Amino acid sequence: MACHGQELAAWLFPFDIRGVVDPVSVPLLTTVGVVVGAGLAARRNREFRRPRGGFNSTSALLGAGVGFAAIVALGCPTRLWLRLGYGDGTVLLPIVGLVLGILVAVIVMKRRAGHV
Amino acid sequence: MFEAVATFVAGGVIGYLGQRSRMCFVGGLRNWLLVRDTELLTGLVTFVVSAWLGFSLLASMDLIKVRPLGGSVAQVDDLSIQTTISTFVGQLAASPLTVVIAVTAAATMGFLSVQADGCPFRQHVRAGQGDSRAWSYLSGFYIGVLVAGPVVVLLAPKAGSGT
Repeated sequence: MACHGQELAAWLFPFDIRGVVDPVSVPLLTTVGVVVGAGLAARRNREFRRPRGGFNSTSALLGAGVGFAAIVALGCPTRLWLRLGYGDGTVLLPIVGLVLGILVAVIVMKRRAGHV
Repeated sequence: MFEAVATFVAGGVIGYLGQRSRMCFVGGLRNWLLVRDTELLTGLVTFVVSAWLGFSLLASMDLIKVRPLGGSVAQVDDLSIQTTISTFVGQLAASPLTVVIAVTAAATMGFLSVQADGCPFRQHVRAGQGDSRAWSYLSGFYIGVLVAGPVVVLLAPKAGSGT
């Protein structure tokens, strides 16, 4: 999601970002497709909710953090697991990191809930 | 043009299935660790196994080349940010510091994804369902992604690869 999103973002904003991304001539619409596909599924099964509530800055900050970290971590969770399935050893340690991060978050959640 | 259509259609199918299955690449482990619920975790395991079988099948038909563990992944990355990934992967082998940075980033990603209640994929699906918090998330997500590219280049020690 992050990598194809980055390609799309680079296509939308074709300013020079230090040659990070090859000149993008064609947009990768995977991320847009996921949103549209999910929307279709939700509508067909009457699970679509009209967006309510305005801009949520906490969510935006979390998104920014995850987006940034995903590029540095060689990919978003989807890509890390996919590359693990491919047999790419370079994601082995990032996968361990991802699992640890989730574990810590769960421990924090449990502490907050009161039962250690 | 082909890539645009192909990725849009593939994304649409994945998004549709993701909405029906509530697939999440973080939620599986979270739910299992939190309440020993294995539903999403089963999906994650199936995803990895399917990817493994799929890549193996493609490789056996000589459609892709599978590199040994630790090799370059650029072969299957035709549609993706080759430059960043391949230089970064090159660094990874060369510099332990980069590994530490990547692992730390992955841990941060996992931690924040639990706070955000879902991995980036799940957030895209939620946005499609009409969740306004997911739309806020995505606005931040794309800014983070856009900013991260140049930062990765700055962080990574200069490599000799001019791809």
